[in-house]
Formats: sequence, C-alpha cells, structure tokens
Amino acid sequence: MDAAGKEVLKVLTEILERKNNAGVYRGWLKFWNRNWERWLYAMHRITGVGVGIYLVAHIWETSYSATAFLDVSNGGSPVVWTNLMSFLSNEFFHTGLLLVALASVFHALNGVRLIFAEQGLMIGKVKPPTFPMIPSSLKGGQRYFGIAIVIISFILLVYAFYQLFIIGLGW
Amino acid sequence: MGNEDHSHFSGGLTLTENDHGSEQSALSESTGNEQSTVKLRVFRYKNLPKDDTSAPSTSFDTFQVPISNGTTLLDALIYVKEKLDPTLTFRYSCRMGICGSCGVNANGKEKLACKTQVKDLGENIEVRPLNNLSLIRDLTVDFKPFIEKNVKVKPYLVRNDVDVDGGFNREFRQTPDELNQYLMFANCLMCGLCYSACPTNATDELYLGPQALARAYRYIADSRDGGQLERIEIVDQEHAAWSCHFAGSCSDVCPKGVDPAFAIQQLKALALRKQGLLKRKKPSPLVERPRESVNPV
Amino acid sequence: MRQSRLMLLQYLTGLGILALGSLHFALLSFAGGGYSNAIQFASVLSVYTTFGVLFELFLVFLTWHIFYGFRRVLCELHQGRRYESTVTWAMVIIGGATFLWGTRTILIFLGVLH
Repeated sequence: MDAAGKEVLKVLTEILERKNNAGVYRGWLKFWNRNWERWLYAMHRITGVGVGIYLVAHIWETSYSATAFLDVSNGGSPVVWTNLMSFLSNEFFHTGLLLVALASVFHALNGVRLIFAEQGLMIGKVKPPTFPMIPSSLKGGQRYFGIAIVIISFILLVYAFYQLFIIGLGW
Repeated sequence: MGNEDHSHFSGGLTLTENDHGSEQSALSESTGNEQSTVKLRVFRYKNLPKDDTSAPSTSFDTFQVPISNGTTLLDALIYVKEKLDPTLTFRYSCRMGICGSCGVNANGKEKLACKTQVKDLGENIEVRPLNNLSLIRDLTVDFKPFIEKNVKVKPYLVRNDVDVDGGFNREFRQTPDELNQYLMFANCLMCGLCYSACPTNATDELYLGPQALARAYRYIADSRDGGQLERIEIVDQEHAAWSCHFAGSCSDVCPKGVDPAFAIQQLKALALRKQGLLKRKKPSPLVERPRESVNPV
Repeated sequence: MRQSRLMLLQYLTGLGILALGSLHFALLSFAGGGYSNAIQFASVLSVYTTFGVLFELFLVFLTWHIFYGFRRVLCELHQGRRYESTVTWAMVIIGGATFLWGTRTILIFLGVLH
C-alpha cells in the first residue's frame, strides 16, 4: 500500500508541478482565446471522457434488466427493472441523459470530421508561401463541417429534450 | 497565423506609404502618433544555484512603458531592460521576424515579440515565457528538448543510392512544382511558438511536437529525398504523429504561415493509407554537370 | 504495433458505434414508440431478443473505443514506462470486466446463461 501510494503521489505531484508546462487546464481545457479547432479539440476530449464514463455506468445499469429477466423466467415480475427505471425517471437524471445525448452526437460527428481531416481530406491543399499566409488547414472544409456539427448537435438536443422531458417525464 | 497578424502587416505598409506622402499626411500621422503608456506585466523567474533547495521563485513585475504607433512588444521589452530593470532577461536577435528567437506568450497567445504591435494587445499586457519548455530565467526557456526532437526526425536529405559525403559536388533535379510541395514547410524558423501552443505538448513530454513533425513532412515531401520510409517509421509511433488531435493551434500561432497541422495530418494519411505512395517514391536524379562554383574537385 | 494500425481500429470501431448507436437511439425514441414506452420491460426484452448479436458487436466496439481512448488520454497526461504499462493493464482489466458484465446481460437474454 505504502509503495503504491507513494508512486501515485509522485505521479500526481509531477503532473501538478511540472515546470512551465501548460498542463491540463491551460493546455487541454483553456480554449477560449484560441482558434475554433482548439475549441472542438477540447470538447471532443471532454465529451469523450464523459460519454465513456456514462457508458460504463450504463452497462452496469442495464445489467439489472437481466436480473429482471431471470425473475420473470422464474415466474416473478420485472420489479427490479421497473423500480430502477422509476428511480431514474426524474428531472435530475434526465438532464444528465440530455447532456449525454448532446455529448455523444457531438463526439460522433466530430469523430467523423477528425477521420476526414486526419486522412488529409477537407484541410485544403499545399500551396506556395505567398502573402497573406493563412494556413490552409484552418480554412478548409473541416472548419465549416465543425460549425455544422455544433448546429446539428443542438438540433438533435431539441429532439432529445422532446423525448426525455415531454414524452419521458410528461411535461 | 491569426487575422490580427495580417492587420499589423498591412498597418505597417500604410504607415510607410504615409511617410513617403505629402507633408500634410505626415503631419496628421504624427498627431495620431501621440505617446501613451501600457502596463506590461512580465513573468519573472530566477534560477537558483544547485545547492539551494528552496523552491525557485516565480513572480510578475509590472512596468509602465510609453508606446507610440509602431512600437513592437520587443521594443517595449528592450525599453524595460534599458530604462527600468536591467535584470529582465529575454532572447532576441534580428528584430524583424527572421531569426525566431523572441517568441513569448502575450495575453495567453504565442507571438514573436518583434512582429507584434503593442497597440494590438490592449493596455494591460501579460507577457509570459513560452510554455512546455523548462525555464532558464524570466522569459528565456531551454530549447534543448525541442532541438533534440527536431534531430530525431532526420531533418536532412537522406540518399541511400548516392554517396553524398566528402567532395560531393552535384545537384539533384527538382521542378518548381516539386519545390512548392514543401517550400511552405521549409520556412520554419524553429521559434517554438507551435510547441508552446500545442495542447499535447502541454502534458506529453515525449511528444515530438508540431515543429519536428512538420519538418519530417517537409523532407518526405521533398522530391530529392529518399528517406521517407525511415521517417514514417519514426512518426508512426506513440508520442508522435498520432498524438496530434488536430487542435490546429500550431498553425494558428505560426508567424511564418507554416501549416504544421496540415503536415501532421498528411503524415497520418501517409502512414495509414498511402504506404504504397511512400514505397513507390524514387528520389530525383542527379544533375549531370558538377557544381563548379561551390565545390571544385 | 505501429500506431496507425491501432488508430485504424479506433476509426473503424468509432464508425461502427456511429452506425449501431444511431440504431440504439432510434429504438429508444421514434422506433420504440417514444422514450417512456421504450424503457418498459417488454420493449427491452423484445429489443434484446431481436438485436442480441448486434448488441454484442456494439459492446465490443464500445469497450475497445472507450478504453483505448482512455488509455490515450492517460498516456498523454503523464509519461514513463512503468506508468504506461500500469495504465495499459488497468484499462485491459477494467475494460475486460465491463465487456464481460455487458456480455452476461446479453447472454442471459438470449437464454445461454441462466
């Protein structure tokens, strides 16, 4: 325990005290004084980690339906599942689901944009260095795709709101 | 390169035109040239001797600096060093955006101090050293890891078919079109702004960085080079090309319009689906006539 | 392994998740007769028995994509041989446990496990 604890402490202090590195906050998350792609980068990372953690919890959550299934096949009722669903059916958890829906749509579409960009598509063509030297990768199709992604995510957010709050909670 | 950089440039051009214009316009220029002051908040760091175990001190000092039209951030820093605090340490050499030594972080964004107009930064300016490289003193950072990473990607022409050592006095053929394939990336000054702006470099000390990767692409795209397979081997690893997540900040801050983000995405495309292109690439042939003026044998 | 092979897997699993995830969202909303109907036990039962194998594929893609993504993020946070191998093994163990737990649910619905 002591050795492992010391190792963890060492890693944490190294992360926190790293000399002059921008670190997680100024490097990964502080995007507001930067370019548009940096914004998408930070959001892709945040949504990825968020949805990832949600999905692990979701796999655990849905395993209760299997318990209910076993109960039903033994002649009982799916009370485990019904109870869990009624416990989760409130404004708090549905707001969480709304955020998960927004994050997963964004992460998925931005992932498609990244696949295109990383394969050299939608980032313009190489050109001789002539004034004004605006980098082609920052004005190619991927930039408009990025804007479209945010718009689509919010349109689908409205639909998710309709499903979760108006149908789901009967607002 | 951000849009504001172009406005500096065009602003500079208009100013020159006015200087050569009529006396009237020169007069109006001088009335617009009234001095004002800005607050320069400069990061200070003092390296302690090796036997001193207390934590090294970092702080911010504020200076009032008079400015006029055309005062660059470097001018302001030189003013501080000459008139206010001679211990302020920063690097610079050419003062005109050629050498790439005066990179600093001004108001949270990396800039070459000599290419940045103070008037564009507002009245309160926070000047910090470049990120992600260890501090030496004040605004000076240690470029050693940066240079070492550049060397890792073999930043030179690799020819396995000709012996280029010793009294080699021949040239390789290259068309203007082939030149344009990499000329943009050859403009790199190695000023380190991209390295400081990159979010992966912010936490990943082994990541090669935008500069080294763009340099690798510069040589892969060069028709005279034959080392593309060795280089792709180097960049197709962990902490290399694939640690780039296309945040694009490197291209955004580059003072010379080099597009490292573009280059790194091309490297990924080459590593993943254009392997055949790399294998088929033949380095360009030699020019038959020897280079007389340079290296007579 | 060369990084590009791993990233190809990340791309393909990502696209697979996009396809199967869209189906999953559709089943939870308009194709499932609205959200409150879709979470009824009868709907859940019919979805698992109809799409069981696809669900298993979805689970494979998800666990790979999530835990390889986590590994990349953690390996960019800090470096060092020991740290990176610890992260890799932690991801293999947690990812494997998640995968097995999800597979258990699907297998129970398909009647393989009791």
